[in-house]
Amino acid sequence: MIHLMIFLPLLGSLLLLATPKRWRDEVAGFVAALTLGLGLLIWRGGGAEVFRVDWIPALGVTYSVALDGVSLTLALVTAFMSFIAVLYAARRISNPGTMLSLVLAMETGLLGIFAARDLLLFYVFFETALLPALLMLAIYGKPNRMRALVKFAAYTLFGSLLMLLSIIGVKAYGGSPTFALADLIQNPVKGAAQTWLYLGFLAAMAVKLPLWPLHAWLPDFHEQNHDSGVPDVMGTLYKVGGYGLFQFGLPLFPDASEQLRPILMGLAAFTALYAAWIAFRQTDWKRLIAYAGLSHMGFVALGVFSLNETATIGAMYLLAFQNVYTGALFLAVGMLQERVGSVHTRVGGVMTQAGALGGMTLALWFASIAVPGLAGFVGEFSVLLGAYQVQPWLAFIAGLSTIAAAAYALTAFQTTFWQGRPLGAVRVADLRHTEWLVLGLPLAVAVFFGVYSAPALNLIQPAVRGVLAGLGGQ
Amino acid sequence: MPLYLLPLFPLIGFALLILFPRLFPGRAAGWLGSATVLASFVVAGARYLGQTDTPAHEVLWTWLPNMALNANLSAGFYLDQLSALMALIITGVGFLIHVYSVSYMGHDPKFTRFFAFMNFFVAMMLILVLADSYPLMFVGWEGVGTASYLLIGFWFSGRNSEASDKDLRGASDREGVANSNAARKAFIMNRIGDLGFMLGMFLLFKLYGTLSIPELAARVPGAQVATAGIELACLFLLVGAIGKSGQLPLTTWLPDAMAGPTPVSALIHAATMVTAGVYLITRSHFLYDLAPVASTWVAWVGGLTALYGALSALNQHDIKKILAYSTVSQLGYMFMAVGLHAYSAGVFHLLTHAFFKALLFLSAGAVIHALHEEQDVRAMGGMRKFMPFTHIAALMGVLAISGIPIWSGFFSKDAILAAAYTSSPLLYVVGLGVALLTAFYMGRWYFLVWRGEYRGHVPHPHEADGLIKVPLGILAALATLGGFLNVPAFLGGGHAFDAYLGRAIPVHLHEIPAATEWLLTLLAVAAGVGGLLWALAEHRRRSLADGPLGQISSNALYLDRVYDGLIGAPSRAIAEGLDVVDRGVDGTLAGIARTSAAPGGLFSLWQSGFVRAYAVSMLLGTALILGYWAIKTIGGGA
Amino acid sequence: MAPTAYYIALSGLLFAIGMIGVLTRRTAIMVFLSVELMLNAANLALVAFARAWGDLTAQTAVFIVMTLAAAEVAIGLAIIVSIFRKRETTNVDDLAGLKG
Repeated sequence: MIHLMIFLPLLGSLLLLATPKRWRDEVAGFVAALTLGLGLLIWRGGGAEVFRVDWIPALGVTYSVALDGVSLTLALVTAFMSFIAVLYAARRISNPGTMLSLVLAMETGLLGIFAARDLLLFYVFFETALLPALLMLAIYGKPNRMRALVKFAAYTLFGSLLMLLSIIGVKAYGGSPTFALADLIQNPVKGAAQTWLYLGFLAAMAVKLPLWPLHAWLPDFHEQNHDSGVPDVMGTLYKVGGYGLFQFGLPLFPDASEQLRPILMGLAAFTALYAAWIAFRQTDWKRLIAYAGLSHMGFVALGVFSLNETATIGAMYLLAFQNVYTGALFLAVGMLQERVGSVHTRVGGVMTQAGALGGMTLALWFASIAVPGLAGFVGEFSVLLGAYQVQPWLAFIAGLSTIAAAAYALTAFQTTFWQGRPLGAVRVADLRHTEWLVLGLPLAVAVFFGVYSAPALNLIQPAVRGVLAGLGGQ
Repeated sequence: MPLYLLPLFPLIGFALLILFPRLFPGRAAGWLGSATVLASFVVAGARYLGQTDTPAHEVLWTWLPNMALNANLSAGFYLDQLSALMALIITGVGFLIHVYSVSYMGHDPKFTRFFAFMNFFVAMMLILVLADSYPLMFVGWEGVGTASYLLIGFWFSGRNSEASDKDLRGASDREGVANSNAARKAFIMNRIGDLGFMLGMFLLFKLYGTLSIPELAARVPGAQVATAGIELACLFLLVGAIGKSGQLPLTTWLPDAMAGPTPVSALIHAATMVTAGVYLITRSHFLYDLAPVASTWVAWVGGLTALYGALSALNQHDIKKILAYSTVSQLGYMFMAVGLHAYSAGVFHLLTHAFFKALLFLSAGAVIHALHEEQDVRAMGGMRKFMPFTHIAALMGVLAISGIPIWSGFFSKDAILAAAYTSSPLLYVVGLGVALLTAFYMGRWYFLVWRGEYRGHVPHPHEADGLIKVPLGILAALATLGGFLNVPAFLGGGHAFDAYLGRAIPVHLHEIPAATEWLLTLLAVAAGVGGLLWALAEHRRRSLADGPLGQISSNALYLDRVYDGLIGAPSRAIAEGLDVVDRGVDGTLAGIARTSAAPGGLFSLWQSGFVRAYAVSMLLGTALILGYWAIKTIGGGA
Repeated sequence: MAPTAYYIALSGLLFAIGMIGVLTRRTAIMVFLSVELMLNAANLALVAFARAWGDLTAQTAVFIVMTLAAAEVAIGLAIIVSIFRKRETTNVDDLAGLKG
């Protein structure tokens, strides 16, 4: 079942190319929904254990996949948000065949990233997910997309290269027979080599987190992507750095992560505050949300780097659910753009006519700035609480960004949706048809997991305990 | 009846009203909203009557990871005397204000949404006071902040945003910007406080390993923890309380919050939400009892804020702004009381203040309504003739807040001043001075609005309708008689309120000789009467419109401008600078990319695009390889 | 039986003619014909060697090359035709759109 879940979207993506135009929406939606359904079935069945066969025996590459704990949570969220993205793309984009196909192809890459239990397989899926992201930007982007594309590709490929090197290094120095995670943990790298390899791995993950100062591709990537926000949803899901660090970084480089903890936590806290502060100045909705997402990623990194149990649980919780509300916010911006023809934050008075759109956007913003009772809070609060136990001052610095978050979110919301409507502005329609679902479902998820966190905690908590127990003494 | 019903009813009301607004035509939404709050009031009343000395603790489900003692923290509700009292105030006063709003907001196009938000507020406030752990309290804490944000910005585009008249629309746009800014300011300033609250929780978790309030209360007295840690945690919590209750230095959002509809000002920014800070400190009494320095800070923050609010209220011209600064000032009294560990006095003042300040706001609202949204007291006067019932109600409120005997404010303020006298004479002097100022600015408010000749523009203002009168009447009765709940011993009373609250919160009874106590009471009454007489004298001289301190008071001691210059402008500038730098980081890296791409340019020259040139290079290449092999073979053979 | 060297010489000659054609002609069709000539020169060489060594493997290879060449001709001509339709020229020097 797990293999079906991983590769079904890719099959669907290929199938779309051979499907007549009028059925493409339905086929894509069906495949995405089926993937989500499979994910839920796996969840009900208690997750999927490690499945392992040799892939390239000569190189020691195996095909090992598993979906449990954190990876299952993230895979479910990915399947869910891909479904939402497909739903919106089908409605918004005329002749969406290519876009839908790319979304589904990317979904396979992302699910593979979360399922992979072999470092080289992880790397392969990592690159697989990159191609559709690049293509989406290249095909559907805005006029300055080439700049953004080059930057995105350059950062990511450079990071991947370092990751590949350190992956090979881990196997070579540790003397493991294969690249499978279990074998690598059995044969750890010791001493200074571990630190250097960790730095290489870290560089790749810092690009994908992203973490200051390797974040510059992110705002451009989102700014130049298609107005509908569908590629942005997938781009948000692609921010897998936090997961990679947790699933591979901590078990493989325990001493190095312990050693570098204060520096990395400082970097993460700084990223959180820095991004939130810059977001305050943005006048482009997509850039703004990109920086907001960057700030969240600072929190995720803070949680993972702190090696504190509560903080790490919070980081994974935040990582999973920020996809939901950040993605939905991108789609809300897409709807705004469809109505007023601009993603500028100085429109004014949109809410006088589009009450539901404004209300939903506001609620999603509240989720994003971690108002308690919504999913963002559980993660952010746990991260800060855990980080405070380790480094009080850094937690304080990161905590400052909660104030900045209120400032940037409410300022942009106010100047777009509140205040007076410009004279002679176009009449704005409220939410229609599937748009209700596209924003409503993520919001419902955000509320549910903000109030009742047990289903997600039951998955995340044991996994985090397992990983941190492997570090010893933490 | 389970406790979760209390917040559940208004939450259901909120969900129905926000999701299916079309189901509620006309005033149905208002009645539904009021009914849910009434249902909660009934539950609160039933629980109050069935209360025993052991607090009720009802756990619902697990919520946050690892935040209780060696376990995940659960969401649950906790009912002791303090939270029962708060729940009664919130649902009781809340219900009256809901009923009032049915009439007051009756003509607003967003009538349904208004009641949805009001219900949301009540639910969150109930979660705040019933929470069994600090994080759950924080849910209510930020929830009420969110509700407050939504309601302050209720008229976010101004009230005539779709008007075709150009001037009207321009004014409406300006109003929209002002309302939105006020809402945002309230939220951000609250967030500053919230960060303090969060840090307090983090530190408490570090010290004691749990955030559940009953567990903490059981652990704190026995635990071996450095006093400095407790002091710091208490100071952090104080920052949170300051933000929510509009105390110095985070006070400037509260007067601006008057941009919201008047019932909102009455419920959120006078009676309930802003008192959450007092509640937080009272709830954390087991910590503050161990932290003398932090408690002194609380008391002085309260004392200074009381003074600041009173001075700022002296020369305001907006009928609601006067009351807003008065609220700031009265909240300062409550902080002073809880800072001096006189929790019962503070909470009692909270109770009476909820009555009389809600009453004053609602009667101000009735006046504003009658004068078609006029809020400037200089364009009022003589309203006594037009609105006799409201006038009497407002008069009760003025007498209560001024501390005139038998009215409720007299008893509660007296208790605070007595507590201040025993602990800190300096604070007592401040408190007494503020009492004088309070009586004066409330007298000024009363004379400018109700007495003298009519200066308004509306030809014939009308008395309020029945739906407005009923809540006014009930609140007036409560404001008048509420004080008898806690008659002190020297006046022949039994401290009934202290005894009730004492079952949950320790009451430190101060030992003052009866004679001294009489003297203190006389002084307090003299201050109140003196203030009112002073206002009357000014009124006779017709110089009341320009209060003392002039511009300084009108601009609220220029605190807003100081903040903007000191914090607002620099933060914006830094954001601007960082943005440039961030794009610069970009530029630097792009430069590196260009440089490293340069060798690639050389190779691209080779890609001439001429097929024949490629063929030549293939030929040359083949020749080269063949030549190499030939030479190698020949060399090998030789 | 003629010595193998003759065949190889003929093959080399054909290859050289084809090569010169590729390098000098500008019409795509002529370039294409020249390429075919070179291909068949290679075929000839293969067949000659096969005969010299008495090994049928090379003959098989030639058959495969011939089938492939047929397919290649079909596709190549189709490309040239569609280029001509689009650009109204088959001059390979004008088709320099891939210049770096």
